[in-house]
Amino acid sequence: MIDRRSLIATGVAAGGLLAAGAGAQAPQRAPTDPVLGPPPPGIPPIKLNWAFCVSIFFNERIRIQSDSGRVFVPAVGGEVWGPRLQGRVVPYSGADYAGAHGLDATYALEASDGALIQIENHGYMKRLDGKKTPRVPAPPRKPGTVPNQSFDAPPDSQVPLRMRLMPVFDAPDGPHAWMSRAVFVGHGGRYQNPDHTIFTYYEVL
Amino acid sequence: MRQFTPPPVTTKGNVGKVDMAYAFQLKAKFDPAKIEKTPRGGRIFQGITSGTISGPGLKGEVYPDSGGNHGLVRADDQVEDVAARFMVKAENGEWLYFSHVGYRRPDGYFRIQAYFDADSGGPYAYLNDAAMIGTAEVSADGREITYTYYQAL
Repeated sequence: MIDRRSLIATGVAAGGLLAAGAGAQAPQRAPTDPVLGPPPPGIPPIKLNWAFCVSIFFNERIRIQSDSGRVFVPAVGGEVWGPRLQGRVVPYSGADYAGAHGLDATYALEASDGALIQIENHGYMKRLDGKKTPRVPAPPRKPGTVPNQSFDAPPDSQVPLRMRLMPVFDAPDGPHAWMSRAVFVGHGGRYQNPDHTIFTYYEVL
Repeated sequence: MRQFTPPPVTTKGNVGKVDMAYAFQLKAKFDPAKIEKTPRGGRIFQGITSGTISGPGLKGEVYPDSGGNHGLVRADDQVEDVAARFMVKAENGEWLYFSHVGYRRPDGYFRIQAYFDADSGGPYAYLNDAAMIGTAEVSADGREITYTYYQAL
């Protein structure tokens, strides 16, 4: 399922992952995971069309020590660029509110014509080094104190990650209405200096 | 509202690449659809009666009458906001949960994003964090749908 090619592709996207040494680690998958490839004859491959990228900057990450481990990672702002959409991320218009499983983000994009477009960004992050990011167990709370609820998210150059997305957009009538009628799939890459993620979205044709 | 100025970093070369791999195909049969007009649109009632899944990623059978299509047809553009849920029994006997969202358009475009739950210790655990996209082809009578699932690697 995770082959060397996908690791290398992620490394290229991360801009120097391989040079940083992570390439020496073989990509891991569970031994029982199926090895998937192109479809057999008679089943057409699925076609994607690059639509746009969204660069989002971050400056804080909060995790609530509940059963779901709910996080709050606000999208402080960013840029939208690419062939089908240009604009910006509306500052502080939402966040990743992920719970027990995967990404669960909602925020607003503003197209260059001023239209507001809502994104619900769902997806999964899987470490390619076969390790699990340990959830730090909550220490016993002392009465009258609040624990430190901040956490960090390393860039791909430190922890190789496969981040893949299944976003849903809602766009107003007009030139962006197609986004409310098309299925998308996406790629996420983590970068630092400053802390940001680049999401690349493809329209499923 | 708080303001933000993007920092002077070059991000525009970093276009992420996605490889799509074929996972499996589901040939499913459904009851005839009933559509009720509601304040939200045309609510679809269509039970799933059977189905067979084959492919390198999964082999199994749909559990009959375990759910079906309950999407909404929009009043204005007649696009269906797909919603489907049902249960599958894999060939090893374990239960899997399937959920579809996506769009079915009057022009024939029918694409889904699929979500799954599988036992995290089992051979289908990869489904739990797979970004899985599907195409769907509907028979002339609307009662057979062939879903083809591709994983974003």
